[in-house]
Amino acid sequence: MDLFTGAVGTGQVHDFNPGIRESGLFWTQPVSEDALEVDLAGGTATLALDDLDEEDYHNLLNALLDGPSDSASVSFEMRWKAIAEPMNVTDTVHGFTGRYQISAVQIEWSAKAPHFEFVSDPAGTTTNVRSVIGRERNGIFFAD
Amino acid sequence: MNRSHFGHTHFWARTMTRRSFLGSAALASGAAVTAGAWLPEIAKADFDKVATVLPRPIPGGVKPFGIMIHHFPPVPFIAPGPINEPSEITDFNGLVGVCRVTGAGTGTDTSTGAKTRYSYQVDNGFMSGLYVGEDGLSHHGTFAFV
Repeated sequence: MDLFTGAVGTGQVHDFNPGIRESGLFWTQPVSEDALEVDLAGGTATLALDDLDEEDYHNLLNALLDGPSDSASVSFEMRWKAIAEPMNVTDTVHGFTGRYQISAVQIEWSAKAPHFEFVSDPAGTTTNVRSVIGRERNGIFFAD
Repeated sequence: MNRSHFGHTHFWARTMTRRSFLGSAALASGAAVTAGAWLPEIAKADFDKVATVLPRPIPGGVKPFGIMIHHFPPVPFIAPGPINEPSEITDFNGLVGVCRVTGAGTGTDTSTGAKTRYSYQVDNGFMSGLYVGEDGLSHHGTFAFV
């Protein structure tokens, strides 16, 4: 979750993420299953988390290099809503298959870091670039 | 440069230690539904539906700044498409969601009270379902990509 003093991509000053696991697991952390509600038939999903532990790496390159960071936290509620019909996708190059729906996401979020707090504008002001929800299999389950 | 040791140990330590004493077997075997019958009181208090074993990363990915990461951003599309792999974890069978959104908000310097407007980009997502963990065993869990 990135903050910029200029337009997106210009003047990044905060980069909140949980870090990269030694295994290479990328910016992924376990959360309570109660945080997630999914209704694929209805084409919706909601992920809501409060006071989630993160690191503030301040910019992308520093995050990828695991440079200095500050302890931080984020809270957010984000909602996916499908905007297209479901489609079956099988990608044999990257080894995943599933049924997906292109979606739009709205998010309202906040962050806390040393001497800093951020509050996003209301969810209705979110600009959706690209979002997807679905059900998939990969790895050893790809061929099931 | 050796990039095999990324990830702040202290972050993962504080994230996992609160729950890791439960061990993976209880969640992996589906024993969760009967946990109350055999877990000691201290364990029951911490039994809150959070995975205790981390999954493994997808094998592929991209190289921003020439650094390999096991992740595909939602855009730009990478052939064959029409979507990029939305999951961060491999050996996975379940629900997935990912997004890239942008917007704006207000930051506050809590030392001075000064407020500043910022733009944001958020690439977030979720994975929830069956996965093979770092221990090589099958588990069920829910994960946020942040």
